[in-house]
Amino acid sequence: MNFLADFRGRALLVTVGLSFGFTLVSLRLVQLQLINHDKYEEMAIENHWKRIEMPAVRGSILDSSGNVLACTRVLQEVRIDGKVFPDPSVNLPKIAQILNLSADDLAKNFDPEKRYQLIANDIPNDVASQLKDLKLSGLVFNEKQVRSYPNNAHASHLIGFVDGEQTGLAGVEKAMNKDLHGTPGERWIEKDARRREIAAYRGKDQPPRDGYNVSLTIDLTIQHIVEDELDKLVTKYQPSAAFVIAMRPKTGEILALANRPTFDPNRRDEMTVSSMRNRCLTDMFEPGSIFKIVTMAGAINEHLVTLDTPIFCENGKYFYAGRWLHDHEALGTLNVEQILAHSSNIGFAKLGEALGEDRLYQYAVDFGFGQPTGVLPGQGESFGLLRPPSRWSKVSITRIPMGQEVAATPLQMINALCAIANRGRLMAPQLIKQVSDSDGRVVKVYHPRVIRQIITPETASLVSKALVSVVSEEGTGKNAAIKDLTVAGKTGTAQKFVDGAYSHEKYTASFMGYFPEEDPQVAILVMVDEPQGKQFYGGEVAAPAFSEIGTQIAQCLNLQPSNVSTEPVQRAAL
Amino acid sequence: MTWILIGLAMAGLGLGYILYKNHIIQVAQENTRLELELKNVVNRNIQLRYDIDKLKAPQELQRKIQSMGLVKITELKVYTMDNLSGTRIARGPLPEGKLR
Repeated sequence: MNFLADFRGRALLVTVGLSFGFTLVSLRLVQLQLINHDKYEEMAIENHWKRIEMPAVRGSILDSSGNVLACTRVLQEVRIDGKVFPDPSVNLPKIAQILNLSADDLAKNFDPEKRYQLIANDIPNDVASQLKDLKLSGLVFNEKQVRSYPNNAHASHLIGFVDGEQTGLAGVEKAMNKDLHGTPGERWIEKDARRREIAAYRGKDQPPRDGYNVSLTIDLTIQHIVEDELDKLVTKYQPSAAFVIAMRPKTGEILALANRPTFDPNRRDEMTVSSMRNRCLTDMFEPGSIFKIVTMAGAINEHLVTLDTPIFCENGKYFYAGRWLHDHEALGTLNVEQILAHSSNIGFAKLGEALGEDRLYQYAVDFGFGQPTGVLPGQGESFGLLRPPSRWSKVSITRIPMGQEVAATPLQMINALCAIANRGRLMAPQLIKQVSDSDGRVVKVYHPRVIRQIITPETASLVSKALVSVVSEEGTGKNAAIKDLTVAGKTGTAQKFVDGAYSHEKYTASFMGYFPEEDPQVAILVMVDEPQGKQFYGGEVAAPAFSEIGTQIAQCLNLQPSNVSTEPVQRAAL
Repeated sequence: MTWILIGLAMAGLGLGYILYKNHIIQVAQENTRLELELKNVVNRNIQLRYDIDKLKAPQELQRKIQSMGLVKITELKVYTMDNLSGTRIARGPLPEGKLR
């Protein structure tokens, strides 16, 4: 008691208390500023600073003339926060009017207890601006990128589509994803107490680099011609599938490619797996008679025959290795050009025998059969089917020359024909033309690529001449003729192999050709899988469609007539 | 007197600092507003370009041609004139009942 009553004692007590207090505070400061420094620094930065990712706009896909095939739009999504939305009975009808929705439906679906209810998806910015002008609390806008395809289903199998994250899943969207994607930017902003940006204290600001634009070799007008005619073909024959490919033989550029069934990439919910398959690349078919050009080119190139060499076609029935081989009509002795024009199976079986297994196989490989073209890598392109001679049966040498026991994709078939049109040079099919940035500066250029010289230009000319006779009045492909232009081509009617035997009900009808024969500008393949009805020959089903498509493409490309009279117009004397 | 002058100079500097800081903030806010405006204009531009692409799509043009009763260019007869020989080459069918 005396101690406390003593002044010096009390002062000492206060000093000790204060010292203890300051020590505690100091320790706490050491804990906050030294020991937990990183944690609190992070919390402070998080409170004040915010990183905003600025997404890059995905590049567009263009056709060879710069028409847009795929582009990215920035659209808005609108949500209502029911808990803070004022006066729903007055404001909901206003929103419904701007969004062109039913006010009753909107009111019925509105829940005042629910937060962030989605009311509209993918609305354009001008509509979003009208909603913002209402200045209503509780209306939340989210910006999002949407991939759009202005030509709907046109060339959809080539263009492909993207997922919700704007990553390419198929077609050019997938193959060129790295170039199309771009690099997102970032911005660091400092926020005030109301979490708004303090513009003067903006930190790192790195703008995004938008994706590059990819130009294709596709010509939108030709693509439209092809799609239009394909629709007519499908309506007429109700096939299980149908394809058309148009190419430039000299460069291998794909001008148009269309499949049926097809899909519209704008309507993801309606897309089915079977309609999304690019069958021109993934599915293989027995080429049938259109493979005969390979046999013929090989036999002429090896100097075994000329176009005038006579071949006896056994009057329509040929017995070989214990099996009968038939022609569609009884044919006697024809020369090589005529056996192609009449598409004689027996004639070509004999050409195959003369060529021999090894050489026939090698020519098929050289023409690109049994290997993918690589036009869209990593997207399930089929190799086709071409067995080595060691795995051939005794009759294979009479069946393969006419296109049985081999299988190829439609793209492989037309590419092989392009080699004939291109004086024996096989080109790699080309789909990508160039890559450029958003200001139009070219970043990458893709050039046509020669794979190999398969046959001599002289051989190619002879085969080409024979192919012209196919489209003559006597030939199987007379319906493929194009007025005023010389067409070279070949029909194909392949029986489908069903349950271990060739079907007499299911066929693949095809025609492929090019024009003008003197200076080939366009090659077209028309293939109809399982046409319904009485007509199933390539010359009846596919050849007329070829003619229709070819006529329109010739006008579109302004091709000069090749076989019209060029007599000057006589002026009448006045 | 010296101290008064130093004081006034300090006050002037402080006031100048505050005025310029305020100006920087205003400019930064204006910049942000214009950035947002530019973004909206760019987005609107993209949307308009898309609308044009939609209207230019061959299906849309074909629909218009049909609705207006016009003839497709591929159905017209095309004449190519050779200036040297005077040759006139006609190609393409002329639809019946249509005037050239």
